[in-house]
Amino acid sequence: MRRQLPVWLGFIAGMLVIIARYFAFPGFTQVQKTLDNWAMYSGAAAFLMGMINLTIVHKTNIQRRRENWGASLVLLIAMFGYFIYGLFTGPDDKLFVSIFNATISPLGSAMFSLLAFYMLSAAYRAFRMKTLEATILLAAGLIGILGNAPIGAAISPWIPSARNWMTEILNTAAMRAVTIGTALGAYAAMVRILLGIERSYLGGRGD
Amino acid sequence: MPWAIAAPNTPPPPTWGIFTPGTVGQFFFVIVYSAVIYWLISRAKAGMPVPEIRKIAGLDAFDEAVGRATEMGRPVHFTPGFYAFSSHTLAAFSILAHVASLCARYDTRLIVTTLNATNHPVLEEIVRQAYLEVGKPDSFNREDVRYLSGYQFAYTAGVVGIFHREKVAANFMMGWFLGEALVIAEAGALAGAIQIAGCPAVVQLPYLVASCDYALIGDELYAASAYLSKDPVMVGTLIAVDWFKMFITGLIVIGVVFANLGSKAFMNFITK
Repeated sequence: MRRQLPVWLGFIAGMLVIIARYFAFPGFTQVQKTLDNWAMYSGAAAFLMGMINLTIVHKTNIQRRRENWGASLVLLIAMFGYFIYGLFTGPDDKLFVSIFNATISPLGSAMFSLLAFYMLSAAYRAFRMKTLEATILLAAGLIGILGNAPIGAAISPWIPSARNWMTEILNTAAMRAVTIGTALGAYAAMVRILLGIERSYLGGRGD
Repeated sequence: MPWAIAAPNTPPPPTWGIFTPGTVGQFFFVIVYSAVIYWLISRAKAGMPVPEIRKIAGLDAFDEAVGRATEMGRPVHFTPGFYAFSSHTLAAFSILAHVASLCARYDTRLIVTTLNATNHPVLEEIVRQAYLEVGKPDSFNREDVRYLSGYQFAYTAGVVGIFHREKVAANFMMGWFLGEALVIAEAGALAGAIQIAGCPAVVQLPYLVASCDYALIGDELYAASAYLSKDPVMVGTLIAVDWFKMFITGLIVIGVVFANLGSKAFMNFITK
C-alpha cells in the first residue's frame, strides 16, 4: 500500500493535468489550477523542512567542534535572527529588505562573475587538440570568438558570415534536434511513471 | 483613444467542440506515441524480444566513477539540479537511487545537495532506502543529504565549498541547471573529481560537455533509469523514443516539401 498509493495518486493527478491540457472543459482547468496551488503550498511547507535540515547539520558541526564550526554558528545566528526579525516586521520592512539586498545580491553577483573565468578554464581544457572532435570544437570556437570581435571582420569578411551560419543554421538545427529528443524522452519517462513501471523515484529499486 | 476600456479577451471557441485550440495535432501525436509505448511495454511483458539499444557512455561510466571514489576513499557528490518535481527531477531521482545503491554497496560516502527544499525529503528517503536495501541502514548518514540554500548562487557557493573541503572524487549533476552549472562543474574539475552530467537544457549543455568527463545529452537523462535497470519492459519505452525521432524527422521532411511547394496545408494540420 505504501508503494501503491503514491503511484495511484500520481496517475490520477497526471491524467487530470493531461486532460486539462487538451480538452476545453472549464472544470478541468479549475482542477489543474487547484493542483498547481497545492504544489505551491507543499513547496512553502518544505522550506521549513529545509531550515530543519540546515539546523541539524550545523548544530552537529558546532557540537562536535568540526573544522570551520564558527561558520556554522554564524549561519545559524544569521538564519534564525533574520527569520525571527522577519516574523515580527513583515516582508515589506525597510531594514528587512535592505539586509537582503545588501548581502544576497552582491554575493550572488560575485559568484556569477566567476563564470567568466570558469568559461576560460573549461574552454582551455575542451579546446586542447587531442581528438578530432576537440579540434572541430577549437575551430568552431575560434570562428565564434573572431566573428563576434571587430578584428574578425578586419581579417576577413568571411569570418562573421561563417559565425552567423554556424549559430543560425548548424547550432539551431542541433539545438532543436536535442530539444525534440528531450521532449520524446521526457514523455516516455512520464508514461513509465504514470503506469507505475518506473518507481525508483520512490526510493530504492521501487519494487 | 487611450482612455477607452478594452473589450475583455474572450477565449477562442474549442476546436471541434471539445479541444483546446492549437492542441489537436499534439493530442493525436500524444495518443499515437502513447499507444506505441504501451504496445512495446506489452510485448516486453509477454516475453517477446526487445530490440537492442545503443550504448550510452555516460551511463556506463557510473560504476567507474563510484569505483574511483571508493579506491581513493573520498566521497561522491550528487545534485538533482535547479527545479523541484519536474520530469528531469524525477529522472534525477531515479539516477540517484542507482548511485546511492552503488555507494551503499561499496561503503562509499555519498553527499547529496539540493537548492530546493521540496526535493529534500524525497532525496533523503531515496538514499535511506538504498542503504536499507543493501542491508546497511546504519551506514546512512542523514547529514549527508543537505539542503544548502534556496538561492542559486548561495547554493553554488555551498557546493563549491563542499568540493574543496571534502575532496569529492566523483560528481553527478543530473537535472536542469542554469548559470550555476559551469561554476559547479569547474569546481569539480579543480577538485579532481570524475564528473558525469545530464541536463536537458540545451543552453547549458555546451558548458557541461566542455567541463565534465561524460555528459548525458537530451533524452539520455530520461533513458538513464531504464538503461541502468536493464529491465526489458523499461527498455521497450526507449525504443519508442528512437522510432519517434525518426518519425519526426519524416514529418520535418514532409513539412519542408510542403513549404517549398507553397502549401500551408500540412502546417495547418499539425498546428490545428
